[in-house]
Amino acid sequence: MADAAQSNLGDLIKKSKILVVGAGGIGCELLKNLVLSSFNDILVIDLDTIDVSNLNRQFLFQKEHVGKSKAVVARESALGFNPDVTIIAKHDSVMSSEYNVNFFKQFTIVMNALDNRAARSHVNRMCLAANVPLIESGTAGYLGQVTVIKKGLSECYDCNPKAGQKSFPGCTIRNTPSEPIHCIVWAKHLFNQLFGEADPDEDVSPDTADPEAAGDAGSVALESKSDDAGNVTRTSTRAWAQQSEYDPSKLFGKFFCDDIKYLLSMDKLWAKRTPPNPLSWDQLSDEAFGNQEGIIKDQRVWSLSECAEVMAASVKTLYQQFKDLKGEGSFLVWDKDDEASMDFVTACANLRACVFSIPRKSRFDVKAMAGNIIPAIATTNAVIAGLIVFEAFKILEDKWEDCRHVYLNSKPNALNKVIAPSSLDSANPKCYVCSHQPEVTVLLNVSQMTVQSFEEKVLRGALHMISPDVMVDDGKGTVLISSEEGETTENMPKLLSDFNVSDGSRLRCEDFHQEYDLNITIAHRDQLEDNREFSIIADPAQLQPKAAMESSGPQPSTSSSSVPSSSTPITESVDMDDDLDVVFQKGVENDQSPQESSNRKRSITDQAETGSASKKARLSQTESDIIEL
Amino acid sequence: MVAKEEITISEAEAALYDRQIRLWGLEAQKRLRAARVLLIGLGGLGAEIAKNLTLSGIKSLTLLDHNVAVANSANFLVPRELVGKNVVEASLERVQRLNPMVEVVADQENVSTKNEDFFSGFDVVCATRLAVEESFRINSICRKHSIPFYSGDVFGFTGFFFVDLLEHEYAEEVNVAAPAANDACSLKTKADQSETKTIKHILNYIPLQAAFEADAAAQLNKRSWQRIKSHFIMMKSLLMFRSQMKRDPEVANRQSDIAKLCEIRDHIQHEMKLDNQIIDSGAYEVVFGELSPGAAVVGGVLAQEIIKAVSHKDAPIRNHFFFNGATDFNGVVEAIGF
Repeated sequence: MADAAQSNLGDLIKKSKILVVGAGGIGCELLKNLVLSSFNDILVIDLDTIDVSNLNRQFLFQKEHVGKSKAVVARESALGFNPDVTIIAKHDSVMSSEYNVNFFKQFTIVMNALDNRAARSHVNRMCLAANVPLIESGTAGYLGQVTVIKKGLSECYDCNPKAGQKSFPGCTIRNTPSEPIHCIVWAKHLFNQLFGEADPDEDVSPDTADPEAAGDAGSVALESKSDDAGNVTRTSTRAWAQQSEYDPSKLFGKFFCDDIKYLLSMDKLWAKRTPPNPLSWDQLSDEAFGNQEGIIKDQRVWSLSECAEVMAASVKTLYQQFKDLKGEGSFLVWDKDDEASMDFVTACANLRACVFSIPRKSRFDVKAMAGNIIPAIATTNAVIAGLIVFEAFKILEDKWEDCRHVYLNSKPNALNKVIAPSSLDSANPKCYVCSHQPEVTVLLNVSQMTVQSFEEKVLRGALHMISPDVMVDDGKGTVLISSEEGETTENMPKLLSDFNVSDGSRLRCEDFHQEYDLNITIAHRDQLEDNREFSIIADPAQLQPKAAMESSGPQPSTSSSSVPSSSTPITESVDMDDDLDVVFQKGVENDQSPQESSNRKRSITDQAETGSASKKARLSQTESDIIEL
Repeated sequence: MVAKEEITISEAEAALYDRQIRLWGLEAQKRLRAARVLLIGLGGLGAEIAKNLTLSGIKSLTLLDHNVAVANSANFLVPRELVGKNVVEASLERVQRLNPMVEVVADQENVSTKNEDFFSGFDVVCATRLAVEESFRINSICRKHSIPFYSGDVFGFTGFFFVDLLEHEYAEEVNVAAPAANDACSLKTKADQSETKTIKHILNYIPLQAAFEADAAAQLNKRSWQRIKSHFIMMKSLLMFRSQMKRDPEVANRQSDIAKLCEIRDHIQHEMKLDNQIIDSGAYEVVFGELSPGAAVVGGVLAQEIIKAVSHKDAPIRNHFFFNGATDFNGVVEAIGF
């Protein structure tokens, strides 16, 4: 291919050293393009193994490779295209401490072909710290995009607030579901309560503390007594199930009859809603859904009796798996690709859907929603991987002014562009990652949040830190969290208020691995909207006065918070394939502030294509105009 | 058109194609499963199209090329030890490995020896690396048999393709306002929030020759012409170079080939009565060889267009696509010759 490129570029290509992060849909296509373009020093890293559902697009893999390391097999296949180049394959996480800033410094360009936000955010920080240009990319269905991130020259991955995973208030999940997704989230919580890592935020029983039902709480409790927090049988769901050895009819009776009767007794909830109908184990309809011939098995919607049968069978299998686990405290981890786990969630979600008069869904559809599956095709990945290499050419030739943020659209935009480039945006001066002195404000309740939750949910979960050290800026240098193993273990169960962290407290956070320092200002709130545990505000100017915030008015969390969070995300283990995460997404119903959207010259398009699972509006950019399609 | 025999998708296929069935639906997958595609020309662009279509799960792919596999090509399907053999023969095994469920047929004959009967056995014909006059001939045979026709090429950093779907009917799903969905245990499944409605459309196309000979500058509105004029002159000069020289521009003859391209460009501009020079000689610096990322971009968009047309789902491109990875980085669509 040296033929095509001018000789100068050919030399630059040969001298470059490239890190490819991810050997999935984009990664496979990218490796092909790189070796055919004579890039001859490539390191590819991916911790994933090959699955059958990858084979429709990850063309470096075939059936006999299922279960093997993506990085290793991708290397072998790509070398077949050009045996003269050197490719090193690492079957590992790019977030591992082995890959420090010095590791990143050896590369001319880093190319992300990732499928999750945490890793993207991490590589972004490593590239900023190492001052190595990063080409970021993502695809979802027919849509895709590529952009260049260069310290001091463009915005970074964290410059743009990204909508968090869509989440639902606990009381919607526990008391008043109205959509299939509410039932699916509930069913996944039920799985965890029975077999998985029990999380008190994932209670499945009626929530008597529901503000809407205020007054009823406790007055009509049936068999169960509510605890102080208003939760019925909060800690004992699993113990209770074990007493009956997970008898399916008993489980059914509790979750689809007794708990429902209890909910019915909270009559304020049903003043303006269709009340739920308790189901009876031995009186289930076996009425099939219309004509379901000629469709694949998974796309059939089950009758109620089928749901109960599948529930019984999957409970039996899962209970056996659970009992077979070795060691105290082991538990099952829900996996959309595990048959019994998926059957259980489909059956329970549909039974609950029927109780609440919500349309039922096929196993195929439930899997998409429960597993957060983003549809993916070969062609989109191929185009995006091609565009990545064109950006790389410009970087190698130092033509920074030519670098573009490029979108692949599913149909021509108003300027007839299917592939639409736009200039790189400049960095957000208030970015909590790439600005000179990164700052964020975290809203939380200091007398409810433990140090452990603060570390796991706020610092690691939302702010994507890897090994944080945290000091309270109290003049005494109190160490809250240390990345040294064991040094602050005794702090973990304590509350932030135990360390005199209060409204206005400042915390100095450092991540040695990411070479990232962040100052956090704590804003104490007794309660946050939707019972969130915390909320992160990147721009303090967006912080509303305390009174306004607590007066249950709609909180502009998506416009102000870069990382909204909640106790009930749709899924914990996101399985998006090269998801379109890099796009600045927003929830369809949560509008950005007009100012922000006009600043960013972006408009909504292509809502229809993103599929049922993703529920996101696509933002697209054109060179010069704001065009709403 | 796709045969109307009853097609069922097996559980194995459902597992393999899961992520794409979630995108375009089972009906589209069934239509793909019935499609017999002829792909003429197996260079870098042909290899990309072959890969993308085979992965998508069409019924059969016939590869037709009488040329010999060369070294350092963007065709990743040729193992190095088979360089020097016929390119179709050399590529066959790797194409088949991409998807054992697709019937891959190798044909090493010269396309110029193929008669009308040969083409009539396909549902789609896609040609690359042909002299434009040969494309005219095949396109007109396809028209007689109502077969969709595509032709495309990649020259260095640039590429383009043309589409003739004759009269094409397609369905498009549009969202309509949400009715209140509530009686769920009844046997009607309603959409979650909004309901989608399927709307049918019909588009008419013109043959390649009419499009190629059209005076795009006169026919298009100013903005459209402004947007594609450099792409158009580039495409036309490259295809005329191929016809006149019986080869593509070569690095070994870089200076003389660029001079020849400029001569052809001037001729085209003169014919179209365009006074201002639309592309300078520097623009031709990037047209040598077949660049892998260029083939990936054009081959990705082109294969997706074939998938769209075969499944009769969503609006297809009408009727040109242009890409330039060296100048404006646009992938732009224009209806030329209507």
